[in-house]
Amino acid sequence: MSKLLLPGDVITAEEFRAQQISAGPGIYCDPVSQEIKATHAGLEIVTQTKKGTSVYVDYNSKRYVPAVGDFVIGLIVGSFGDSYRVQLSNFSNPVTLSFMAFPNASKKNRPTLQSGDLCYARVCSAYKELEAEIECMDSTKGQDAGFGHLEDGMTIEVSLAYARELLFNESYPLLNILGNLVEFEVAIGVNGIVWIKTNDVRTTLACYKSILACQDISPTQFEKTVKLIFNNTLKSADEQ
Amino acid sequence: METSMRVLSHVDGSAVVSNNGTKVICSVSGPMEPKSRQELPTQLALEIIVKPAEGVQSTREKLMEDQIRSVLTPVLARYLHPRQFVQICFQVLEAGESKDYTVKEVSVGINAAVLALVDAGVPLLSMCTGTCIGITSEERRLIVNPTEPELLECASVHVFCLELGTDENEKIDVRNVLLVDSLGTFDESQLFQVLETGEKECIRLYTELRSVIKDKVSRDFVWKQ
Amino acid sequence: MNTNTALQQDRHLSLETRPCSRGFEEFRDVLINDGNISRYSAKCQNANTNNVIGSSIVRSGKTFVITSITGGIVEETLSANNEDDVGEEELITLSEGSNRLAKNASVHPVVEIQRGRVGGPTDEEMITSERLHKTLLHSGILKKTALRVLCGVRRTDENGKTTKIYSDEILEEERKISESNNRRWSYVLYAKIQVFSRNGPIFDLCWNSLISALKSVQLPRAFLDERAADLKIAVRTRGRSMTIRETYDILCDPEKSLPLQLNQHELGYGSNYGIIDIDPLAQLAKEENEMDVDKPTSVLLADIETEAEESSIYSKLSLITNKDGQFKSATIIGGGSKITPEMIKRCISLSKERSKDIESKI
Repeated sequence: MSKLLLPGDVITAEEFRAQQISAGPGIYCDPVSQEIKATHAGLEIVTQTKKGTSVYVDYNSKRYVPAVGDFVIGLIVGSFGDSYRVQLSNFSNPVTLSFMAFPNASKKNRPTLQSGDLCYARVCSAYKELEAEIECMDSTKGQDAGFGHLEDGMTIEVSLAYARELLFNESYPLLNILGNLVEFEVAIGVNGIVWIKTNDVRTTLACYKSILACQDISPTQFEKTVKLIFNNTLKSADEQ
Repeated sequence: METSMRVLSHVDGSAVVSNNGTKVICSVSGPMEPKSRQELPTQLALEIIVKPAEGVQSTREKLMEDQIRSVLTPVLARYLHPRQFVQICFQVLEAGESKDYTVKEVSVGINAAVLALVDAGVPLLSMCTGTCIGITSEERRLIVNPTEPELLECASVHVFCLELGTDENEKIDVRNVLLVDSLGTFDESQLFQVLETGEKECIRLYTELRSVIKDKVSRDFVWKQ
Repeated sequence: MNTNTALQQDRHLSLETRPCSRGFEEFRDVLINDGNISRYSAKCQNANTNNVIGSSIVRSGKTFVITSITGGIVEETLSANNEDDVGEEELITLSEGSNRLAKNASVHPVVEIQRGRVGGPTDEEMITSERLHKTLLHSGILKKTALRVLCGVRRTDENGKTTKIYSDEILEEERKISESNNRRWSYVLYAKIQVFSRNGPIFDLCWNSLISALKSVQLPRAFLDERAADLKIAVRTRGRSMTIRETYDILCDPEKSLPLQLNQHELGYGSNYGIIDIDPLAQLAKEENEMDVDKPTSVLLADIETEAEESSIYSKLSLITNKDGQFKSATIIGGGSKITPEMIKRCISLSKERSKDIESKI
């Protein structure tokens, strides 16, 4: 396991002194002393890139703070002028989703999302002083990129680190195990929301329970746990 | 000191700390949207609520809130979340002291708050720990973390909180005294004794909290093992 | 924090002065008197209608703190089994064990900061009131025995002339009359503390004002009417006979009073300090020969005043001590500059001197 950092830990950086380093989430550079400290408790991740060294703290939490490039699942809570207001987590400041941030959008061709709809989107601007903005297309290319309205299905609230692991770690076995048991659609937002849809309410529920249960256990136990949940859920539904 | 983290499911972070007859549960929500009167244009707004073990809030709890606020404010990286808001709520489960004292509740509450803030992922510039110390009237003996009967024998009672971190060489780095609140009858040398003993105790608590947080992180990343 | 006030503060400090034009370790001048508010004041005009029994006015700079103390009498709840004649002091030690606070008493303060609007108390008012109450309770300045009512009896003789007799003024054999009932009363003191033109932290000002008001307190003597002192009325309800004891009507003597006994050697007075870093960037350009002088990076400011100081100083100390360094309260908050033991030592020696100065003025 990599090195543990706690808030207030000054980062050892013999190797950092000489070169430019980029600080990621959980790292704070004191504007006066130029000291580099951790602000969160988690694992220190140092990677060497072409441009230099990057360092960040991989930490777990429940409250999402928008960052550019993140894939998120948001709830439309209203529209305001020519943009939607979207909630990424309960009681957080809402973010903006412009009507123009959809593929093939124009003044006349307005998106048809309504209050209460879920949508999959990407954060395109996040400054701490301003309201964050999200988009439902790839704005660099101006093309559709798989974002948009999520219909039906069910959402699961999970911790942020788990959501990131599900989304980015391709060798993470959970989705493959589920895929062997049932056919499903999934969207994972790094704001801690997983949307899942199957053809049957019973299997949706089984997936919901499996994803929640696997949050706190080691991957070696996934297969056993998921099978148990599926058997129990389907059986009890059959009995009724 | 007994601790557990992430005990509540509907808030962003929570912790229970119990120590020598005093038990406090702390919950942290945020950073989230403030009510307009709480909003600060350049920094994170903080709401602290202390609920007593019995009865309703009174001025006694207001004073505790004020002390806890003065400890937590400098520790938070407030400028990272302007116009946002964090609510920290304490429920005293067991007071472990009579209504005339607040030292034990404040010091345990501060340790609970740090764990809950770490759990919630609210950015902190340093860690802090708190302890309480009593000086007996007869032998002038220092008691760290006194029990309720011991507290009654003390001529003076003190709350002590320290701002701590780890420096580049992974040594514990004492950054500042965050709070000393002393009541009763004492003199200069006793005050300095309190500072000295309090520092040792806070450093000890820091290493204890460190291992608690280490366990928490390894549970958070259960798939990385 | 407003950037302008912070910059204003920094610029002043770099010129070795403060926004209030005092030196770093210079206190505001303090004036203390009893303000003729109390009915026992020398020049009081309305002694008959006035129910203030102790008062003080503290003026520090532009800030006024006015304290008026009123009182009441409550009957103490005694345990049922003290019929046998246990001595008073023994009783206290028996029931309270080694509880130090059980012998201490406090007042009930209400702090009001006048700022031209009405509404519920602000947090600062509540916090200051609570701190005053707690500090006084823990300090041992006021003991419960000092608030005990030494009750007298009013007698009416055959000519209709009334006299009042107090147990400590009469002969031993007559004392029994007033002590025949085993009830006990004590005074309760309330302090109303009003702050006008608040211009900085107020706790130490309120404390000094409270203490000087307490020093002026005269407790009015209280007496029972002899006829009511031990009157039993036999009544019969639903076949059962019982006696009703007349409720005691305890009255205050409009003329006679006793000074409140404070533990003089426990008295202490408050002062506050701030520690702030000097920002080298805010320093104004200096003459060349001054450039190499090593300057301290942080300074100690005594008696915080003005909004500029209050909003830019995060490390604060508030001490209550007497001139010999016996402390009653110490609050150190280190939200900003680093607080070193040397700084604390310097504050302590300043606060001793300040305490000596205030003591001489009361």
